[in-house]
Amino acid sequence: MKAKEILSKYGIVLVLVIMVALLCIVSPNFRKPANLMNVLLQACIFGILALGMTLVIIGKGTDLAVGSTLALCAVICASFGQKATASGKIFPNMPELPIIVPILIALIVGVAVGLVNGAFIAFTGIPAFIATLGMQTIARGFALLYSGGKPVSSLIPAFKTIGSGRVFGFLPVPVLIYIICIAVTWVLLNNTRFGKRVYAIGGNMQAAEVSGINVKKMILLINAYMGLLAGVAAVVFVGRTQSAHPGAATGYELTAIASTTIGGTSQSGGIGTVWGAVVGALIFSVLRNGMTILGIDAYWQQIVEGFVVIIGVVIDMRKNARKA
Amino acid sequence: MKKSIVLLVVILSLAIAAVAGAQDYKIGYACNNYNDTFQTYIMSYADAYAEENGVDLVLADGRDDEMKQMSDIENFIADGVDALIVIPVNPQGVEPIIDKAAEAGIPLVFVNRNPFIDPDTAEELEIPEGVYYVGSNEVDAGNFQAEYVVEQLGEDAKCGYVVLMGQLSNTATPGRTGGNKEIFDLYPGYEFLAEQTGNWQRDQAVTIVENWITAYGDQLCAVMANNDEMALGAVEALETAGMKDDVIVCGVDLIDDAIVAIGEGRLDFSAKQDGQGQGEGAVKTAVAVLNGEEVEDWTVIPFIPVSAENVVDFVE
Repeated sequence: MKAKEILSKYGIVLVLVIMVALLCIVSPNFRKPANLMNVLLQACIFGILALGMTLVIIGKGTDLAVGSTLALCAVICASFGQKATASGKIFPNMPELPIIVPILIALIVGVAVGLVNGAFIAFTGIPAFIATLGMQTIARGFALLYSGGKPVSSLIPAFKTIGSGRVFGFLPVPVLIYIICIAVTWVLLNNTRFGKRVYAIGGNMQAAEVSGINVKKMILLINAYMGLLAGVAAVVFVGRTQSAHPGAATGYELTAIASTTIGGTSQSGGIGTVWGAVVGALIFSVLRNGMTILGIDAYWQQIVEGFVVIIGVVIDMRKNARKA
Repeated sequence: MKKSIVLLVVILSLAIAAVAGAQDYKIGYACNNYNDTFQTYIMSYADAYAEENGVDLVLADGRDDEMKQMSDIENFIADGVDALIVIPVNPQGVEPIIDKAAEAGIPLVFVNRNPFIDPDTAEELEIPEGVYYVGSNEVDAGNFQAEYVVEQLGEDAKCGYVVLMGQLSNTATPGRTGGNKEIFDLYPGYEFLAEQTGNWQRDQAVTIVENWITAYGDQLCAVMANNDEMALGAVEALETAGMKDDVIVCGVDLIDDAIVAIGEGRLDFSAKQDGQGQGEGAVKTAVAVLNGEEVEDWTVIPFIPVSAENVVDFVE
């Protein structure tokens, strides 16, 4: 009985451990420390998005706009971080600004988009699915408009530090940022009144309202936090690619939702954990990295990824059904 | 006895290593997007050539996502490839790819999408050490199209032309468009009317050309499209409006549909992009560098002008 309980609670972690173990045995190149660090590095961007998505989905929402929000944050962020000598600059006469300016701007833009999403959902009563579906095209449109459809490049060297710098000589900066985001989100969800309220409105929105929770304000805050993390992910993205493409991150919302879901966050709200989102993101990253290293055909890779999402959710549903 | 066995093993393994070392290169091929038909042609030619020559070519699909491509490249390097061939998702953001290759100390060959052309000025940029480009000179394609139009209508003709551009982030777009204007600017009768991006897509081109027909009517006498897909979209819009006989349409690539359309007299001209030359050229360049041979940092694979006169040569 006890073993069964552990299995159902930590089943997905077991899946990750088995995947990693198998790949380590099969492929000598997979188990190289440099490659294992790659797996973490490659999980960062959709991992950060999955953290925000976990909050959103626990609160009975969804966000189909995170990919395009990331792209909008990225082009605006990059436009404030171009070298003085860059050709075709968005702001031709702007001097080089310290790196903190583009970073803050990315975060502000992210929060702003999140607040708009939240406002649509909270004050018009339309489903989050529809509000963020609209925002998906709106944010993408603004990103294209702002950049004139072209990538923003020739960025100041500080972006390189964000994308490929190492702390203590081994830890990539994006991984450090990811770890900080995990810690902050974990504390927020588990140790604050805000976190308890997220679970409460996801579990039963009417009951939450009756018990005195300002549901509208909560929806605004949850979406703003998702936007903030989209801004953080945008900064990492710009650092990694040293440019910002208005078409960037297309479809990332689905990877984020999938990571969250295979990590055990229930689409019906009220259930989900931060570590689940982390494990989900890592499973995706291991899968993509491992399959490329094993030389598995790219078409098959997509098919396998799809099956993993479905199987992950099936396991999760059985688990929750057993609980009820 | 023991000694001789050890000796035998050493000799055998040395022999195997020598044989393997001569040919056994492993090269990572990072495609931009398997949904990009022309790129998959180039890839299949590269793959076939690699197989014939004993090179282990590992393929990856960037899914039109820079971050996915970055991961593909990191994974290739972790997998210990000897060289990288990359069709960049974003030709203007290749700096991190170049850094990664340099860090790993392996040669890097860009194919088809040229990162070393300034997209605003169409100027050539310097190619870093250890990096190579195999592709066509995009300006030539634009020149060939415009030269065909001038040849058909005469140097003194009065003619308004429009340009259907590819994705603005792609360096082929300013190259081909600039190539058109370079030629037309020599003849005062040729007047530039408008340009717009159809993002390489046929359906978008149909809409754009419909609007141009409304806007310019009889003034319109030539449509220069940055690729065949859009040229065929233009043909459809012009045929619907009953104007096809009065307007010359030129494309680039010579995809299969274009061969048929030129044969039927619907499309007037295409500049054939040599996918086989590019795919094989990429692998050849990588192998030559690995063998320590002297290699040009820019291998030009020329475009071939194709019209009704010579289209039969390209029917398979």
